[in-house]
Amino acid sequence: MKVKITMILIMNICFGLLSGCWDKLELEEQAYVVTVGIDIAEGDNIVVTCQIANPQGGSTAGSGGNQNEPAAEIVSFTMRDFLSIRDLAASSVTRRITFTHTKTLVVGEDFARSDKFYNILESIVRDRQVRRDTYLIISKESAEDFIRNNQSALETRPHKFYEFMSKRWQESGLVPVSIIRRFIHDTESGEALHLAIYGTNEKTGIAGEKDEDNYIAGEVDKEGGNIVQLIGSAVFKDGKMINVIDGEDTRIALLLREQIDIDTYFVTYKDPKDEEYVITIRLTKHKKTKVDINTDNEIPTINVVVPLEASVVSIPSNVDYVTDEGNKNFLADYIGEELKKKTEKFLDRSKEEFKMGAFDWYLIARKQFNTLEEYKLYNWREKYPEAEITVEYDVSIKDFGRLFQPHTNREGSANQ
Amino acid sequence: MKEEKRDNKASRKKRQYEDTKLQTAIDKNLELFKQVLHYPLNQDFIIKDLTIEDFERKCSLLYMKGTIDSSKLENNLVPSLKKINQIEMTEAISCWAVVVKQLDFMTVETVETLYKAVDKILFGYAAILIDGCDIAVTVNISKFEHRSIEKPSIENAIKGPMESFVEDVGTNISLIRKIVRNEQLISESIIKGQRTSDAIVLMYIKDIADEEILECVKKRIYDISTDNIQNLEIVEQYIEDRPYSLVPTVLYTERPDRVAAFLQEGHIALLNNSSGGLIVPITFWSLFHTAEDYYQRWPYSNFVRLIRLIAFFLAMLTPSLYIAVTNYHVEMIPTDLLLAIGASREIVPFPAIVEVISMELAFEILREAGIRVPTPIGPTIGIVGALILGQAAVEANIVSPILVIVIAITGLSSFAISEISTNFMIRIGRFVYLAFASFMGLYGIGLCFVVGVAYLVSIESFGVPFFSPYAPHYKSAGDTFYRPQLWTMIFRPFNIQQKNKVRNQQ
Repeated sequence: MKVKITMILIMNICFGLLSGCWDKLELEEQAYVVTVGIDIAEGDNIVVTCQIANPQGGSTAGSGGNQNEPAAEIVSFTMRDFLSIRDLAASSVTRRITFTHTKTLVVGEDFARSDKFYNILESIVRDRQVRRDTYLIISKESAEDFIRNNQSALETRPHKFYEFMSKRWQESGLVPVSIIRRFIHDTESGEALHLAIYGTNEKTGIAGEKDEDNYIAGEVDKEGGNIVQLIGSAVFKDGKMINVIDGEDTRIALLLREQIDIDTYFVTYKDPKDEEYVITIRLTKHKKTKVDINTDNEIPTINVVVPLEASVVSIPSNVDYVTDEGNKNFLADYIGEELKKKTEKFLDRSKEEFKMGAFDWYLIARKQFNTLEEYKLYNWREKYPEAEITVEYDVSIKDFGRLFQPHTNREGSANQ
Repeated sequence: MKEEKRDNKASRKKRQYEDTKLQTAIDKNLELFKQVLHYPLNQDFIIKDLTIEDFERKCSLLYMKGTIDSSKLENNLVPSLKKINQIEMTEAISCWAVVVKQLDFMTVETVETLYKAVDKILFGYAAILIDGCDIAVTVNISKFEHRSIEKPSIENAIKGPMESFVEDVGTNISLIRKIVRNEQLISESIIKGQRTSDAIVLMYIKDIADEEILECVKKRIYDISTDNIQNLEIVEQYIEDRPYSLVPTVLYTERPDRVAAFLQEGHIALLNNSSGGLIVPITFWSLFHTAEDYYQRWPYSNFVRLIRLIAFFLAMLTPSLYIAVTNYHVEMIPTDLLLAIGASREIVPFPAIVEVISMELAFEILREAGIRVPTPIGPTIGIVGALILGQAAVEANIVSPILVIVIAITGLSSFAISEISTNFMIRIGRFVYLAFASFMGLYGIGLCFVVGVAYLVSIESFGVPFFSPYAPHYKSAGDTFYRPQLWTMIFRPFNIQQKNKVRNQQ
């Protein structure tokens, strides 16, 4: 009996000692990098910038803690490989560098346009600490500048900026919500462009007449606040950045995707009945986009119907687009046409300039084939630029009633 | 081997006067009683010489002070004895028969051996010795002091009966019989050792309770090696299935309504002069449920059960989850919380596990002290404890504020589990989880959980699997995590009994 108990005890102790994962590390001994920036440097080197969150900075907790400490420490290292930063950082950072809370990866445009970018990114993803849902931001200037200059007065802690911004991105669709996993996905497929978030901290000024959304980062005319602007997207083809598109095109690309990537956004149009004024419309993609792809012929045909719900928010011209059925349908058609024009322009660009789509259509096309071999033989990558694409916008006007009517009409109805 | 030895020793001790028969001469008898009950030394033992008019023979009344009701003695027993007339006495075949006849309105028993007579005296009977009779007449005039019926102090309820058991078996049986008015309700007395005073009353409903289990219970009670069982709390430890395990296999309850409910499902209740009753066999659900679950309306009681289930897991796992997550899986914590914990942990000198263990220890000490502390200074302990555990420890940078929340939530949750044994099981089990979490993180907790569940499933209480009717599955009313509507609970649990499967219906 005694021997048995001793044996069990020894076994249990061994079991504990041998199987424990001895990577236990107290949480305060680690330096949490919330933003990583990568830039090209001379020779084979890259510059890695780490924005390390300071737990005591900007916190109200911590009795005895110093609340005047800065919220983050930003360090930049020049080296050949990304992950060796952990050891190199030990030369100056007191805590162990940890990437588990890295939410954002900022890449300088110069580096993104270089061949080395994809290799480095792949090596980053291989590290098990790095989150696959890290946001990918391409900055017009160097990533180091971008990170150092990104000072939001509202958010003291650096990760908060990106956390809140990502929610705005999902709503407005002015930038694509680009994460590393999707980037790898698109690139590995070899059949899709990847749209990454495009940003800058340099105001370049406005080029030409602008509506509300056809800016690219730097062009937005604003004063005060954080100098960083994030609008438009960087276009990647085969893991290499090739161009930049503005916010409007980004929205179109998101609308053309089957899934709902964009919540609700506002657009202004010239009033079709009174050219002097503009009307403001709120658009919502409430259902999935219908994409029909026919791959029976040599040239694929793609039919896209984008369902949109529009509500008229402001009508300075006082034309009744809300209760008058005729006007309502007219406006719906007008919005559809306007969107169609822009979409066709963008699709032409995608076919001729990029020679690739960014709308996940290849996934739908793949479903048309019985085997992967057949699909590969069909060679979608080559076929896409020649495809016949028709896009329709199925716009329905919603929200009606007194509150949405132009006020002149409202008075009239009140008199009756 | 050891048990046998003890058995022999105990029985040998009894045999000293076990077989001694009473004598015919009263003086000899008195001498025997005086010897056994240490007459002049033990001042509680009273021998009264009785003079009955017209009756020449010597009579003696023997009783033990403190076990009898003196008003019964003075108002009933003695006057009726005095009324015995001589004619009857002389005509009768033997004198004791007359006495028995005269006292037939009381509980009267005749005994022939010294041992039994002494036993009766200890149990609150008065023994009447008559010169020339080798038989003693014993009359029940017993009265022991006990508490009056009070509110339950452990198993509190907002709604429902407020009675609890007291330290008197008669009262306890009466409390149950008040609820279960059933001709099939049996109360069987099992006399342990040779003493009736050690009797354990077994209650069950004959046409429901499973005979096999009943036999098993009886056997275990007979097998108890000691001859002096103070109360049920001790019996519990003798008859349970796994004496070394953290998991209880006998339920201790102080609520008669709960016992009644269990009886109607085919369980067996054990009663004694104790402030509680034992229920066997039990399942995990018996420990998890409370009496009030059935008194509250359906949505409320299910809400409460859900809360209790959450509290169950919180009490068991919160500290270990905290350790696992902060030491091994920092990526799981939202960044803001991570930074907040980091900021407060920065100035704390100990590793998180030391913090947790010291705070847990402090809390357990506070809890134990709270039970043992004399009532007048009880509130002070509460205040001092809360201060030490909370504010002061944080301000002195000994623990981080988040840990106070962890410990507080754990402690609070453990109070939500009212069953004492389960409560201990969880409180001790928590430390096991903590050890695994500090070695292996969430993997360790998962491992420990799997082993724990496997162990629980392997346990049986008097042959009934611990997690039945859930696993292994039996037909039942489905009253496990979820409490069905009362009128849908027509089945009695099949895992407990197979005789009478459907509840009485009209």
